[in-house]
Amino acid sequence: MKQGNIKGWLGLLFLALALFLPLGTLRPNRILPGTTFHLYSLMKEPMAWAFVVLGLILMAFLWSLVIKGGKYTPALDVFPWILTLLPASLLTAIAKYETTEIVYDPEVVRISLSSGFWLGLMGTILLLSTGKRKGFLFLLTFLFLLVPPLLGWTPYLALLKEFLIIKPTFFMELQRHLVLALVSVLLAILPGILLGYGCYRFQRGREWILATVNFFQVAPTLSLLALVMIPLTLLSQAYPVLADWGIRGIGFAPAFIVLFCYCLLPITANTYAGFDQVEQEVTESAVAMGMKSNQVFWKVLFPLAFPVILSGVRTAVTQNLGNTILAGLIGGGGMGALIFLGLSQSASDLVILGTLPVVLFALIADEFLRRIEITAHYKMGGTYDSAHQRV
Amino acid sequence: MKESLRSRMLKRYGVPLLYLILFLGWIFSSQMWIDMLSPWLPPNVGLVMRTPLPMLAWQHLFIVVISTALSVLTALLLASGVRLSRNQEWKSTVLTAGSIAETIPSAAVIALAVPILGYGNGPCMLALYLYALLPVVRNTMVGMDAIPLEIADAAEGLGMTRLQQLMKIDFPLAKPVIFAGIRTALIINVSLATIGATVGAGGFGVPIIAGIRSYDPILVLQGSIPVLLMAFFFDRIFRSSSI
Amino acid sequence: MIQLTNVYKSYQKQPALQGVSISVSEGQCAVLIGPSGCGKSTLLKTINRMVDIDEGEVKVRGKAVQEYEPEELRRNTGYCIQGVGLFPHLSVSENIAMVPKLLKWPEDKIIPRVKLLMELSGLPLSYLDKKPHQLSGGEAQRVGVCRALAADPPILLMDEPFGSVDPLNREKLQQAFIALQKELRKTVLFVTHDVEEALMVGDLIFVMNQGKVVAEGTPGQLAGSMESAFAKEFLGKEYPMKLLKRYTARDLPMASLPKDSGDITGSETEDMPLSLKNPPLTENSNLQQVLSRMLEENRTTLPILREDDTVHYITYESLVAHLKEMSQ
Repeated sequence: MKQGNIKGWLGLLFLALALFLPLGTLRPNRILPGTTFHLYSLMKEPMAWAFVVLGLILMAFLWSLVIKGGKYTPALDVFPWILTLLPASLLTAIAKYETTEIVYDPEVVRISLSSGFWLGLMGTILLLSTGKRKGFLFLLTFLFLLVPPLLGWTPYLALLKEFLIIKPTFFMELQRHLVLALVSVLLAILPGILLGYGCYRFQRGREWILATVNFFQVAPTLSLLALVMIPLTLLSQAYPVLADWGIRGIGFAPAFIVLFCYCLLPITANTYAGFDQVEQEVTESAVAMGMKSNQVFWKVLFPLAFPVILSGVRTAVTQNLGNTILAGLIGGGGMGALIFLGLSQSASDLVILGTLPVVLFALIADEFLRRIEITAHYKMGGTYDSAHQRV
Repeated sequence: MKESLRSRMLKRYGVPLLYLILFLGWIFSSQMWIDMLSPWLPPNVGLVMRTPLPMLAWQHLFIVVISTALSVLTALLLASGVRLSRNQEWKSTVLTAGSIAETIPSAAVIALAVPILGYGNGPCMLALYLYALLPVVRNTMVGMDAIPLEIADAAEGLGMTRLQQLMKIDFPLAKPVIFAGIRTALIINVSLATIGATVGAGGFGVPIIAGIRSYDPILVLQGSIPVLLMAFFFDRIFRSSSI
Repeated sequence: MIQLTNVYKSYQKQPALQGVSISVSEGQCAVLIGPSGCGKSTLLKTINRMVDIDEGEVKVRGKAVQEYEPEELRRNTGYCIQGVGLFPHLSVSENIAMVPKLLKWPEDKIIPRVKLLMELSGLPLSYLDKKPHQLSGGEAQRVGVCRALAADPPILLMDEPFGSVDPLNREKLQQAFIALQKELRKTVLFVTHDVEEALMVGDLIFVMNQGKVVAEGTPGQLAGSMESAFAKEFLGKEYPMKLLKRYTARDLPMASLPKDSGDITGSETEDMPLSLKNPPLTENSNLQQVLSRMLEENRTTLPILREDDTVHYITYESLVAHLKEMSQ
């Protein structure tokens, strides 16, 4: 825990702030803003005590670190594991908030999480990120967070209530979201690589290809969506067979097309950069050995460019997961449907419910692809130093 | 290849000027053209908009420029702070925080800002402010980092304070990269501002979304074309090369 | 084996080769030497058609290079460049085995060939699975040479192969190459701008300037009078001294008894015993060392310790005679 001091202190700061900031909001129903409450109101609840105790243990550890001058004790290794329990216990404590002042209808009353909770969660993540096995600990924290709602300890949690209301829709939209985002990237990989190779080989066409592909990133996504919808509507009206296949002016078709085009830039640009960074001597040797063009491509250029190409795919995936939200505006479903629904109903918890999976999947996909990328980098003869330059 | 000054100036300012002319032409005259063409258009289309296009243009510009400008200012201050501290850890913390924040979908940020700021331009501008921070901070830090060590050493050897280095060396040398970051931020924001219409903000998102909801392609076009031109205009203006 | 006749090549109005004619026989190591931009690299590349000529003829084994399929020509020509260009994603053995694999050699032929080449170039077999980034510059270049020779091509083209290596290792590489060439007797075309390297490595030297060959000859012949003032100046006034490095004591006739004992100026001195302050020179010492030692010890006859531990003597006169012979 000694290195990463800034992250550690920031994490502690956030956690400390959680003590003073509102932790939750009690709302009589979905729409009314409700009243916020802080840590001191929770002190009747054992879980709240658990949180405080954990916090005190945390303090003790850090104090001992300071006094003992950072000497290593085996207990330091256990500490991060204990820390992963912190957000879950906080969550449970918040969700168990009770007030005897006014009687609420248990069916509709709900508790939303407030800034204090989120800061506490962020603080935990920051503290965990200073140690080893970060990925695993993050996963653990997240899993522990799921435990209280699953076990029914938090019946009044607003997020849970929203989730339960739309449960089947939630999973359906989640699936649609993932399919839309991921399939569009997958289909864009081949054209992207071809275009990137075109940039590499043909100096003349390079600017045009890059400018065209860049067009889709500059143009505002919503206007692109809208502009694609118009011809698609006309087409599906002229050829009803398309509508049977699901290609209409609204829905997934325009979203898919726009997402596909949007992915092209990261993949194309990275492919070109990947080929470009292969040293000239290497390609010269390959040609001088008597390799034909396709042999040079498959045996030399492509393997060496692969990590960079993968980095472009990674960018495209994380971008797409976020952009697919706009599909919700045009009837394409996905988490965007939840978000905009929550927006129209003034239910921020529904908005959060829609946002969280997108963020999580984006983070997971990013990390997963990053690890593959780093493995590929080393396999293709990269070194430790060059690995740290790119990520 | 030598190009005359005139042809270079033409390339650099000609295309954005073209975008600007088209933009102005559209926002001031499209309604007129639509009215002229109305006998040939399907019925119930191109309904007169509540707010005329030039007004929407002003709103959109206002939202984008104000929030992006504030954001750029904040970002430059933040990046300067990190640079002055010469602390690698601050840099990596800020960069990591930035990339995590980037995964939060922008539409969600707008939606979540509503309880705090109500409906209207507020949540939209807050979201724009936050999203413009990331590219500018990142580019500024990366751009300053890319300055060769020898130059920084030389400056230090001359007796320049870190602040003087920042103003006289770091910023000027990193200027192209910083401008690239500002360009990215502007483009993201022009796009994001269209979504603001879902929370009651003004701008070109209003006719686009209204058009989508009422299956009115003319309305959609009226909003889409100018916002596209605006985005390309900003893109061109902030590119240092002529491409 | 290799014949260029009146070759012209220009890059977009910049002439690179202006009427070059050279001939290299089988088993010869020909060196192209000259200042930057003289066209030596371009000339080299015309042989494996990395560069196509504008006019003239380039013939390999009697056949014009245009008549070969470029890939076929290149698979039968080894190519070593300054940056080596080892494939970073492949191991040393995979790099070396690349051309044999392209030629579809069976595995049991490739593996012993790779090992043989490694041994010949002085690389330990433990390097077989290493990746290029783990090698030093000199080691990488040795692998590059192995790779070029893997499919046993008759011709080897080398473009400043030792240029990016530090002087100490460069000499080692030159020695390694000379030993390799002695063993394999390939037809080599070697480009360098370093005069010393040229005379160490080459059987035949072509001095080039501005796209033309201005002088040619064996290293010894170039020490004699030359028409080209440029070549004279390029080779330098100390060329004959540098030339001494090429030859060793073994090249001189040795006698088992001292013929004359005296210093170079001709006066007589005592025959000095073998166990002196300086260790005796061996057959492998080059003539520069021999001459230096003669000057140092002020004698015209020098004892040489041979491999069979016998002592023989060489003389200053025989050294001069040898140089004269080489310059014919």
